[in-house]
Amino acid sequence: MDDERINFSALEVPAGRWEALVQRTLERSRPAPPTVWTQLPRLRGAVFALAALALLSWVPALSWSNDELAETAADPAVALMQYSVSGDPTALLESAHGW
Amino acid sequence: MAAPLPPEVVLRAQQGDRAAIEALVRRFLRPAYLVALSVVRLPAEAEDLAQESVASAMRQLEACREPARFAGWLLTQVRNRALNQLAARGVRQRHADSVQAAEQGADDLERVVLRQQLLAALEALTAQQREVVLLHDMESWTHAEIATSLGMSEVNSRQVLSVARKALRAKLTELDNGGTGHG
Repeated sequence: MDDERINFSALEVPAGRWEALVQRTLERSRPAPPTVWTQLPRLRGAVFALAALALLSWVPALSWSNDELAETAADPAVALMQYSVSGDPTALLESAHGW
Repeated sequence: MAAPLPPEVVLRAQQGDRAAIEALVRRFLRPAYLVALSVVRLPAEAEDLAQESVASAMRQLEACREPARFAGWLLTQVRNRALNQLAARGVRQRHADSVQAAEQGADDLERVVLRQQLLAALEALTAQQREVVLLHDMESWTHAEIATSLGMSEVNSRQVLSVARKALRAKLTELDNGGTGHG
């Protein structure tokens, strides 16, 4: 076996230049600021809660009877909700005429 | 010889610990440079490749699934990047760059000559032989470290080192005697 090391000192990078290389590498090693997309998995709890809240806000509207909606049909917001539930634009048009 | 870096350092770096990231850069930039040098055989280009590869690896540390095998993971990225760069260039251009880079990077004529002779002698080896001899003789890695990082056995690492040294000495002697090994 050949146990004597080869002298590669001529290939060594001078110390000052090497430290500059280390510093440049460290500067470029900083991770990019997180994007919304990369943050999404971390925010999934909040996203789920907001989605659940939005869904729950629709439940009372779905359970309202048409009579209850008709009583307040003059209200544009209720008319819009009634239209979204029934698909009938009448209440919406009546409400618009009343403005 | 540098002390082996515990996998905990990689784990801390993965969590964004700047001190751990700096420890990894300082520990592995030189091996990365040597692996790049073993592929492209141009010191200046190897420096750029090492910098780019290590910085890129630090930015995507979460991709390193086995912190205990961090060295192998990193050096594989360096090797692949260097091979891609090598493939993108012509051999003729590479040789011209080699002479120019060697002359610009050295301090004096003797160093330039030595540097050119070493680079020319390294051309006589395979890429794997170059990696083993550079990591062992320049970075003082043990055969166990080389075996783990390069995916070979320790016995194989010893054999490769021995063959590489013999080939290098023969080539350097030939160049010293005025051989035409520069190509």
